[in-house]
Amino acid sequence: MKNNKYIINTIVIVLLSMFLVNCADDDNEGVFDESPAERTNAQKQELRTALQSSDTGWKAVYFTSPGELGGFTFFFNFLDDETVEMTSDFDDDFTVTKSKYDVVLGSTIKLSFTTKNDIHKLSDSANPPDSGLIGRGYLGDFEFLYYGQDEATGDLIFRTNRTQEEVRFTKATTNEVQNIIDSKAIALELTDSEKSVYQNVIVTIDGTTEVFDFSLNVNRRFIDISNDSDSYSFGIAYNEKGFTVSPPLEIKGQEISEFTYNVEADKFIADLGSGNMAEIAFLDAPSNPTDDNLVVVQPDNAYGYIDDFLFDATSSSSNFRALRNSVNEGLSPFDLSLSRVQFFFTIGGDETFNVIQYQLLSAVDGSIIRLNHFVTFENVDGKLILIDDGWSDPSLAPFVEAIDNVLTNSEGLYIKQENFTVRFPNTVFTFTSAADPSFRMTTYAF
Amino acid sequence: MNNINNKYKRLVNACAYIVAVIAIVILASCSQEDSFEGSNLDTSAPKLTALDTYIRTNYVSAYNIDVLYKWNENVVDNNRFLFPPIEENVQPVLEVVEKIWLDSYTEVGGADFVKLVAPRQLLLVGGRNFNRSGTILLGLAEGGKRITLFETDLVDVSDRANITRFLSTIQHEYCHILNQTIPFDEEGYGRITPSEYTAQWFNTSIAEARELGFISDYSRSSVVEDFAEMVNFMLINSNEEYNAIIDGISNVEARESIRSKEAIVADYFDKQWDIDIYELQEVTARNTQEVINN
Repeated sequence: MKNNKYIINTIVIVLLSMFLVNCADDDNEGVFDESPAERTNAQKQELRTALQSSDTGWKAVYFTSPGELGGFTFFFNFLDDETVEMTSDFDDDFTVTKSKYDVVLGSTIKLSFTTKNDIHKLSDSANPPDSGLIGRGYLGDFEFLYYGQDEATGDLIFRTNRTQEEVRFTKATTNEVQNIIDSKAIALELTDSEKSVYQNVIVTIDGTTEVFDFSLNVNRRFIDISNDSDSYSFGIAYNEKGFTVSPPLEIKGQEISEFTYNVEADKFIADLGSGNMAEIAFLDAPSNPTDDNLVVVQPDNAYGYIDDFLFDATSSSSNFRALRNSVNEGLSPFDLSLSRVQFFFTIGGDETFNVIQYQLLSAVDGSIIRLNHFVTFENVDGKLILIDDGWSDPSLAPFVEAIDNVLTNSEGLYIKQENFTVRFPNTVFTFTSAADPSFRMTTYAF
Repeated sequence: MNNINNKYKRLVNACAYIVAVIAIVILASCSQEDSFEGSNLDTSAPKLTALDTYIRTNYVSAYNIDVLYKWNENVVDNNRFLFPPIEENVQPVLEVVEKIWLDSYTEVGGADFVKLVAPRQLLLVGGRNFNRSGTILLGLAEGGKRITLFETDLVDVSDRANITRFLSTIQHEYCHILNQTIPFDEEGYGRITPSEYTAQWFNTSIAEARELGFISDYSRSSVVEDFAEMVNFMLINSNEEYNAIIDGISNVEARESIRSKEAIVADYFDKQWDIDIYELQEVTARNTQEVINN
């Protein structure tokens, strides 16, 4: 019995001490004064307040995927706790439109644009910049995780929900929408192939000058520059003065992050100080000429522009398209349209037997009229010069003269075998007018 | 014996004593607890726009279906590049859905039909859902609980072909929900054109698929999809239009195959749901015409 009493007392003491210890103050209690829900609410409120704190709204330059796409500039104005108005330089519709937004808890507090507006245009599976991004649009996001405010600049720092790209909201100026409109006009100075299809970049660093071929993918806002020894790729975002480069381009230890448009010189210039600079300009001739003009005239070579597949090719310049349209306008009263322009060189080994053939398609019965312009050729200074040698039906010649005059201009054509294909595996050759370098026709080699 | 009783009583007393002490300790340890106050979570009623009120009245109250039109990453596939609809487009689209789908089923199946067998959520997405292969996903029915409708922003309520295309998604996906609630005779159905089902269904045109005994190209993807496509084509067309489609098929065997499938569909609706699908077809066609006329 004594034993029992001893056991019971021991149990009581052990249990009592356990309860007492259980109820002792926990060291962790003091880490936060508020509950998680209170802290989340406070952070949501902080972001809402911050978003509405700028009277002029916010500007954000959003690079959705820096390795393959350039940046898009947005103007946001948060009107109350659920309404935002915005516009962007994504397209030429600069209307400031209202939609809904919300501040919600995701992996952290995030800003979510919950009904459709301009920002969603970057995330439209049906509207990719090119066939390489089918189903993925511009890889954009419209939910932004909040990482706080930059104390020095006042910027709101976000990361995209899907890919954690940093996006900063900077306080907008009073005329930010006008800046976006102006930036699109500046962009045209860079993308306007009516000036010339030839552009290059001249980089001068420490007294040494290097010339790069320049290629801009207009839809992706992405630039490739290259010469025999180096090549670089970078995305750009337009602004009212020129464009920014992201991530900054580093050439020979010099960092290039911004190009400014110089109206007088019609050039985009990055002045790096101490005589170092980079310039992008349009040229009258290719900076790295080829001798492909000698290749195309080899016996029985044929090259064809096929309207169905090559009119929209990015290598077909807008001036070429304009001339094709004017040819079609003249043909339309007869229910005809230009379906092909084909070159046949040195037919049967005879260098004097060459043809530019215009194929005119009848909309009535699908038949084709083949109009042949016989030519001879000369190769001069890397250019192919085609010389009139009579027509198969001279009465039809005036219908195609808008294009034919350019192809047979005495200054000749620059020919280039391109390193891309269009829809089919055929090698692509382009024919560019030396007299008017804004004319470039794209052809398949047969 | 007495001794044992005594010991037992003392043990019971001791236990009672322990319990009392523990109870006091527990009660005492809780005495410092703050009293409950209002929740830290936001429990206030959300502000309802005219659109939200419409949804509450015409969908939530009427059919026990919620409509999600604001973006919520938890209910969409984040590997896809999709976006929410334009707010102004939502109500006109919902009115069309209500008239052509909900009203028709209600008229034929009874007031509670859709309420009892319905998706609990309709999720609206603004644009097209392109696959990387270039094909387009028109809709999704997930576990019978949620139907996702893409292309909300592209609906043109005055264009019959456009409305038909949008509604076909609902008719198709709702059929899946009916099938998930009460299965149809998959085995018997699958025996009609057993060798022509293929994952590469998109390589044949609709016309080619019909000559093989399928109502559409997508029908060829599986027996379940074939059944849903049959229901879809019967409901997005009037009886005359539907018969014209079948009569336009040149292969006699293909025509018979589709008629056999139609018989299974009609039997399923009749026996399992007490619905005459031809009556449903007529009512749906009438309601579709009313939408276009207005």
